Amino acid sequence: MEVIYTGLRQTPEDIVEAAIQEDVDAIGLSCLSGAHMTLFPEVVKLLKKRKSGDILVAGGGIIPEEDIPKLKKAGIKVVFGPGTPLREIVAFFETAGEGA
Amino acid sequence: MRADEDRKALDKELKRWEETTLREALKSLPERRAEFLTTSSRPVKRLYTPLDLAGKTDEDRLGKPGEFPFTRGIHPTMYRGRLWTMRMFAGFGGAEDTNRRFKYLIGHGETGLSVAFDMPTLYGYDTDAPEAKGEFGTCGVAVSSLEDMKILFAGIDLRAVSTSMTINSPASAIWAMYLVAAEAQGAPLSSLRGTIQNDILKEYQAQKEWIFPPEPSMRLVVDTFEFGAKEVPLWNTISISGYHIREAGATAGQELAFTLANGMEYVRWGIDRGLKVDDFANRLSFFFNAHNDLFEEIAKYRAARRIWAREMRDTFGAKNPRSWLLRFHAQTAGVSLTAQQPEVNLVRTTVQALAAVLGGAQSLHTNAYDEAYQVPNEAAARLALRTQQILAHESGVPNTVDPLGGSYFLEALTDELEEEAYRYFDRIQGLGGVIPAIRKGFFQQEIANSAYRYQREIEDRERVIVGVNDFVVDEQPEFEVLRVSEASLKAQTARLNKIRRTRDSKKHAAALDRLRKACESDDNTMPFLLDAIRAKATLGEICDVMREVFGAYEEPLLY
Repeated sequence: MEVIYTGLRQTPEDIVEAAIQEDVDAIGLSCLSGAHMTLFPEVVKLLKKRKSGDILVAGGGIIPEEDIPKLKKAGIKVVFGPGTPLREIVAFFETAGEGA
Repeated sequence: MRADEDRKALDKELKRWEETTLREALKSLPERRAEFLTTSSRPVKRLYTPLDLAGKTDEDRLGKPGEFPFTRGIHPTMYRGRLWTMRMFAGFGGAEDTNRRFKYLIGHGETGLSVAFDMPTLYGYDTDAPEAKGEFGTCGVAVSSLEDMKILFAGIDLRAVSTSMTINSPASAIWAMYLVAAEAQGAPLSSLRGTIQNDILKEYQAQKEWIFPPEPSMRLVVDTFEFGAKEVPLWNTISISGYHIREAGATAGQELAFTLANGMEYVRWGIDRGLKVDDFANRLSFFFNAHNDLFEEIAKYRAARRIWAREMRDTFGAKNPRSWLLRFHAQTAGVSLTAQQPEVNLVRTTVQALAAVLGGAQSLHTNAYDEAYQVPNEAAARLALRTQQILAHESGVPNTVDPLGGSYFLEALTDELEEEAYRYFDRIQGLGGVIPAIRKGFFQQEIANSAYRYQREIEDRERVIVGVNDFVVDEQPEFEVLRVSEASLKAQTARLNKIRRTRDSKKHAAALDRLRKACESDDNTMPFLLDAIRAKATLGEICDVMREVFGAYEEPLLY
């Protein structure tokens, strides 16, 4: 599996651009500032707009429980909350990769 | 000779104990684990004795409180004279929201202010910039203009209170805003007390809230040293911060070493500017983490004081004893807070705060139990403040100076941390100094390695974190979720629009132009920042000028 790290402080536009350029299968977003309700759905929206809605979007960070259903509804495939072991996250992407 | 004989006798006595009493005990009850480790994975021995303290006398190691090397504290009477400042880090939403929170905390007995800014402010963007989308007021208060700053402190007498502001890349601009807001209250600059964090080096190493490359950033920092020494003499123009280094996953030893290495780098830059070390060193302050491991944390603070005093006196030739003092703020470890069973964080925070007090902190922030999730709600923030009040007024800990001084374990640990710091100083020097080491990714890699090891220890259950990998319950936490109001965002945006519409645009453009020229020259930028603020330039506009002149920093990626 190849992982491309785009660095910190990327706007949704930056992220979508990089994902399309690099022809990725999945995007992992991390947000700890509380802006996830704005930024995560924005990424999904822009992907769809660029006809790349098949790219899987996963999110993680300090996400209140009540926000998770709303994020899933907005097209975030999975949300990894606090305490998620690294191997669980890795396993998710491996399985998702097999399905593709 | 006498010491040698004593040592031999002690050694013999210890061996006797090990071979008799201890051996018997271990037979019937083996120890719980093969190795006991601190939070930083430092091995801890079963027992510490005077044998661990050989090689130095108590006078060299400890001195007296208020005297070189200040291991026991910077003041002869410590908390018997004055308690530490209870300074609660606060900020969310707009200036009005945070002003209310300040007044609430003051009303409940906090003794100093501490401003948390939101992400756009920390990165030098106005609330209405595209980069700020979704971030308004989530992690702190949005301050884009002088108007915001005035509202933030409305009804608070800035001559009477000391204010700490956690701001780094745009620190000089935000400080200029504060100074102009204070002027408007009628407070002379010479009366103002407070601190700007202004520690850019640890941003490249750990927190990552940089804007410009290191060299122009350091120049802006030294501009504040120079301006502060002349115009705002009671202000701490920097808070050299290990806190964020630790939060990023460093060990206690790395936090200590990197922070002090950064401190010395600032001193060198100040001296290179032509400042006399005694003219600015007494306004350098520090900020450390208070993490889980009680003794390791206390040892860290004591080692920090001793190293700094020695380096300032002997390496940098500071003559004024005030220049030798390492004064520090402490904050309990945000990174230790758990989203699981959040109320347990109250207990963690209490132990951490105790470390800071036993370690002689000058001021302290205690995290609220809901802070793994959010900027604390009112009730949680008050409980966090109450934790400090319990330590101050009920625990008895502040009744004597350095109550743990002389503990074999603590003194040995203090020596060990000191030695670890010097080993790091040598490595940093070997890489060409702090900034070259940043460009090589040295600090970043060291911190990442420690963070990874710690996380692995938790996931492999080599380290128990209550409520996370042991003593787990299956229930959702309940607390009041604090949301930033849409109305605050609307009010803030409307205020910015009005400022841009009604200000004298010629005066505004001319002030920004003069600022640009100052940035391009070697002039001290502070007076030009003050002028730009008076001409109603916003934070984003000021930082845009600087971004154009200085460029943006890109970090080396490590893998």
